Amino acid sequence: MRRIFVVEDDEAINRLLCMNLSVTGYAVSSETDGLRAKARIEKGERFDLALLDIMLPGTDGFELLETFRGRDIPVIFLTAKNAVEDKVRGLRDGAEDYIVKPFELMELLVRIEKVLARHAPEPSEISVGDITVQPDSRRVTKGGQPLELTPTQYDLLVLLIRNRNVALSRERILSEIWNSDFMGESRTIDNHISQLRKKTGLPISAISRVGYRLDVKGPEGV
Amino acid sequence: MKISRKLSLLSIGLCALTLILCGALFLLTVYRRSLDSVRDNAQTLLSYVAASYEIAVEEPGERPALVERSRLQFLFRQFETGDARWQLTYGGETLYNDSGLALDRLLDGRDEAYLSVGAKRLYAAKAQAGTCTLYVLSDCSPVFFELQGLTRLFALIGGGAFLLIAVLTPLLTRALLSPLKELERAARRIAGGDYQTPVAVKHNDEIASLGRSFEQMRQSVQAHLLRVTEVAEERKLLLGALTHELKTPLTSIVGYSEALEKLNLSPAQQRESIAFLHRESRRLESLTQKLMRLITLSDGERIDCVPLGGEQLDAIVRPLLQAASEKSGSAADLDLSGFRAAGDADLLCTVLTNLYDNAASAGAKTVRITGSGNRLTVADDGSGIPEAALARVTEPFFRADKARSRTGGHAGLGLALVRQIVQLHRGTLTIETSPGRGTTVTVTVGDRNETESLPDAADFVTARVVS
Repeated sequence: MRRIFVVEDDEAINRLLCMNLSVTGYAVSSETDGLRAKARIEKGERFDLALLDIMLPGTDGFELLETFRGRDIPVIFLTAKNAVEDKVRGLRDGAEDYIVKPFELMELLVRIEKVLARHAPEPSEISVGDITVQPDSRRVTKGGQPLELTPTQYDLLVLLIRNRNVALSRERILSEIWNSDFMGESRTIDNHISQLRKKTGLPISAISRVGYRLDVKGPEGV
Repeated sequence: MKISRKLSLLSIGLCALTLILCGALFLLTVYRRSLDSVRDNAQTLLSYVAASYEIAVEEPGERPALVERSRLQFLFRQFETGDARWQLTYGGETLYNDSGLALDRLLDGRDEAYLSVGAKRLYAAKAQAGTCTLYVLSDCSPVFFELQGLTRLFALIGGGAFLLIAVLTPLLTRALLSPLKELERAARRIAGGDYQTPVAVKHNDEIASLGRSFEQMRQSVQAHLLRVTEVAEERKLLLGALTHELKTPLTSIVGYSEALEKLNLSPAQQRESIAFLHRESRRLESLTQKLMRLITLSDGERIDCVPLGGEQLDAIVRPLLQAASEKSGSAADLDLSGFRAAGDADLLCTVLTNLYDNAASAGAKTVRITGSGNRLTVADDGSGIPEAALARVTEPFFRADKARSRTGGHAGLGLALVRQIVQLHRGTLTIETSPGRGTTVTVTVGDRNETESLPDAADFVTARVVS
């Protein structure tokens, strides 16, 4: 499981980030004080990614960035400042990305995924329940037995697993699986979902007014 | 057309006109005088010749007409008669005429006349000499020659003068008007946004006084601009700080509500999210309330100053402080019995609760709140204010210690609000701090003259470090 370090001084936002990330399948550790965060990194704690608030007590995000870069931990800045110079400085100094508060959960997750894709190689196997996916060979097994899926069903499965516990809107699913120019009907998605549910036996629930969500309990989920 | 060119052309035109008029008048006068002198000479000569001739021919005795004619003719020929031409008539008969003209007929009874014969201008006059009539004829041509020469000379001198004027006038006009050019450049500079460069003023004429007015205008525009820029800058900072302050609770509210909607959360996580939603919404509410208060107070809202006693204020403040001290753990020691002043009880209560909140977030164990006369004092034994931060503590959204204030949920509006209220009460605000040992804030009410206009912060806010 990939580890994310959240450094944010506002307690509410800090807890929010931790909750969101742990529910979506990341291992999360957090800190509200810049100097304590720095000390932990210098002690040699390893993370795959850090979310850093720019305005921190003790020190600021820009100063912490050097410590993180020294240990090859990619950094995404969180900032309430919408100031362009902050963004420019952050990116020039070597941050991977920045997110302006208030942010949307989806945006946060997508950005995290992108940065991780660049830095931490994807594991060769993803497992949810008794389903195992090998992205390299596009093979899916259920309880050790190979499972035949159409290419669309396979893509949908991977999308749901990667966003486990997050409700995905129909628009998002459409744009990810069929590209944005496909003017498909929502019914098409509903059909694919029900077939996928039947084949895999995974708990894919329909969330009213939003879309679909793969609910995963256990060590990787809630 | 440029004004310098207009002035030049006008001056040159006027000069030319003057020269021509003067020249014409001069020449006319010369002409008259010369003609007069020709006439005078001719008259003098005529009367002299006539008189001498009369004497010469005066010889009594009767002579036959023929003899008499020959005698008169002969005698006249003896006369030295200068360069004038003559005609002599005797009883209607011409005895002598070297004029080549019939003067008697041309004069036709007149005593004198100017005659034009061909291109010539002549002067003729007659006089009685004894029994004869004598006519003289003078040529005026030399006068015309002289006049021609004079005219040429005058044209030469006048032309020279005119040329000189034509060359000098534009130069002089331009030189005279150069301060206007300078003013124009200054106006352009000002129009282009350069309010720094002063307007140069030379001499002491009307243009210079215009220049001085310009300079005054520039200075006042510059001063005004500076003030406007400062205010705008202040507003911008305030707005930036406000956006930042609002974004923090908003991020949580947006985030937790989205999580509740979209995430597969455990019941415990749902409860936590709702608790945070509630807490952050309250934080946003208190922030906006304080801010609204600050904005309405800044906008010059009138306050109701009524005579207040310590017990009235105590009744409002005590329950609030009790609730606050249960939450924060900083004991509030309240004694307002000696307080007597005119003020707005609600606003003064806001002052005291805000000062208490500050003391509590500075980690005070006990906060002593006392009132005597028109003076309210809040003394704490907290951490004090760092000297570097002291000058800015009354600025909106300024926090001396960011880390602690943030977690306590304060936005940094407390002292800004206190300052505003004190200003409206025409009072003074004194902050004395001793880092590590505590802070004492003293507020007085109605200390300053009622007729004074509201002063700037510097006049009534004092902040200093005491040891």
